[in-house]
Amino acid sequence: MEKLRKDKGTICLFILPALFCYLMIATFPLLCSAVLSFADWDVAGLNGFIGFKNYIQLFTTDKIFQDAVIHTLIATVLCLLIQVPCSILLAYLLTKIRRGRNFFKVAFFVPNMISTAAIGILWIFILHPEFGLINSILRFVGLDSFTHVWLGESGTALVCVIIAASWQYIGYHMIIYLCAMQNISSSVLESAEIDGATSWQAFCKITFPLIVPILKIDTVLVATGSLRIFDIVFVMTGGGPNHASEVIASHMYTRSFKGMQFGYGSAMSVVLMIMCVLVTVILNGVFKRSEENIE
Amino acid sequence: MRKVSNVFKYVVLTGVTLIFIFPLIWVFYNSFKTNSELFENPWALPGSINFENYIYAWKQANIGQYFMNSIIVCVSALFLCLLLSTTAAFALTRLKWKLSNTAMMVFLVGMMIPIHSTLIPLFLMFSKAGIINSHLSLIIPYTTSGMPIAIFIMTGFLKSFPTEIEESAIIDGASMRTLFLRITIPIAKPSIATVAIYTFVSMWNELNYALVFLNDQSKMTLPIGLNSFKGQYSTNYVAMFAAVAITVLPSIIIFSIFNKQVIEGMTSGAVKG
Repeated sequence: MEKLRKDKGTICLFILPALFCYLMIATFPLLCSAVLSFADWDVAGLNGFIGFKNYIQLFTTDKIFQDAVIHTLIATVLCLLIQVPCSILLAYLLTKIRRGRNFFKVAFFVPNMISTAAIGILWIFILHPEFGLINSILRFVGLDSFTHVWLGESGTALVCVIIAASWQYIGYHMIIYLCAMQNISSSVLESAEIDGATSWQAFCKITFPLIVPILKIDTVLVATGSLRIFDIVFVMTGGGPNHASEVIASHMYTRSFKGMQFGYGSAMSVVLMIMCVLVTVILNGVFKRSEENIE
Repeated sequence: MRKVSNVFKYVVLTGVTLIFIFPLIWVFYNSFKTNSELFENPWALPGSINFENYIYAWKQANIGQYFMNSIIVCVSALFLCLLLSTTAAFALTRLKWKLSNTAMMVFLVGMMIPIHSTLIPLFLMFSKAGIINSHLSLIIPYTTSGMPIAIFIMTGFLKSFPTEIEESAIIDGASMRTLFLRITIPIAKPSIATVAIYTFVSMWNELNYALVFLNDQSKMTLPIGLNSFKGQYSTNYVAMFAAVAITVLPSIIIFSIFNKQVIEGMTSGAVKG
């Protein structure tokens, strides 16, 4: 028995194919892009290594990139402000009803099932200046002056994309909170109710503190997910109009695969990666500090 | 009082449901309209049901071709992903070797690798290998990007399952290979099903890799094909509605049957990890 389990041949047969493929296609490219970010690599191939030049160019001369960083940060903050409270609220409502919980859960999750390409086009239609749902509602209630060419105006494009992205992901995050809330033992909540706590008190004093560990994980998920926001931007606006909704990943895509500046693009992907790590560290720090404050 | 607040909760929840579901219903019924009907009143139901838009989208706009490409890519990648993940999960839970924890870490850390950091190196690798613009250029990264979560779910399942049956099979003289094929795989079936459904849906919807690795119209999968349709036939809106409907339907059908497994697959990484 033990001998069979330690047989080298069997072990290699079972693990090596998976490990090899994975290292080659997922782990190795990650290291490559770090190396590439120091290279001048364009359509002609490698023109040599240029140290930090790509990074310096990003932060000194590339105005589009700097704006893209700001847009990405705006998107991250807005996504956090929209998605986290909405999903907690919906999850809480679902724990409070007896019938139909599963129906609502599944219904809210549906947008996660759809390709972002389809969601992007769906929202292009919803926001369409002529037959779009938003503008036709506004016209119907007589607010014609509020109608916009939502995705064609630099003031509204980015926000619209963020709303579409939130529409897609709220159901997902709601399920995470719902799982956490359902794990809270009902006897704690019942005894609070017997002691005369209002449901608002029970939420603040019992439910919320108990979901904080999940809140921490989920905030990191939302934040890193929105820092990397790309496909919905690409489908809905392509970064336009006039780069008004350009984010880091979309700029990286354009420069790497339209401009064939692979070294430059890699530098952007490294910056993006570092931002994700930084945000994760910062959020963990914030949560740690607030946990200490509570104690 | 209690009743009032209960009614209020259902009103809110129903309202939110409409926000999530109505746009999809709207797409479906608009896909049967003509363009002039759409512009006249976007809310109204179509005057008559005809499938012209679907025929146009399927044939003229190549959606049929994209659909077949998606099936080829997703089915092959899913098969490879399941093959590699089940064997890996078996090795990680049932075989004894020194580096097994390290290997598990390699896969788990991989869950956090952002796709953007691998796009450029993979593009250069695939160009060199001459497989850009082929289905292989999608099958390979789809296979590996499905692996971490698959391995995570299956090892979790196998660890919690008692090994007595397998031990007695070995005592009866079964080799590790027959053990894997005849006993472990049947035992792991529920987790394999979860993984398969979830992985298939995420591959079906994938856009980033397809966008970078495919330029050739005849090779495109549905999401990227849909996006190129948007550029080419941008004024035939109702046909685009039909194209969106065709893309969305398989996922919705799978989800309406297997919603439990899909939700479990999608959230397990976050909740347990």
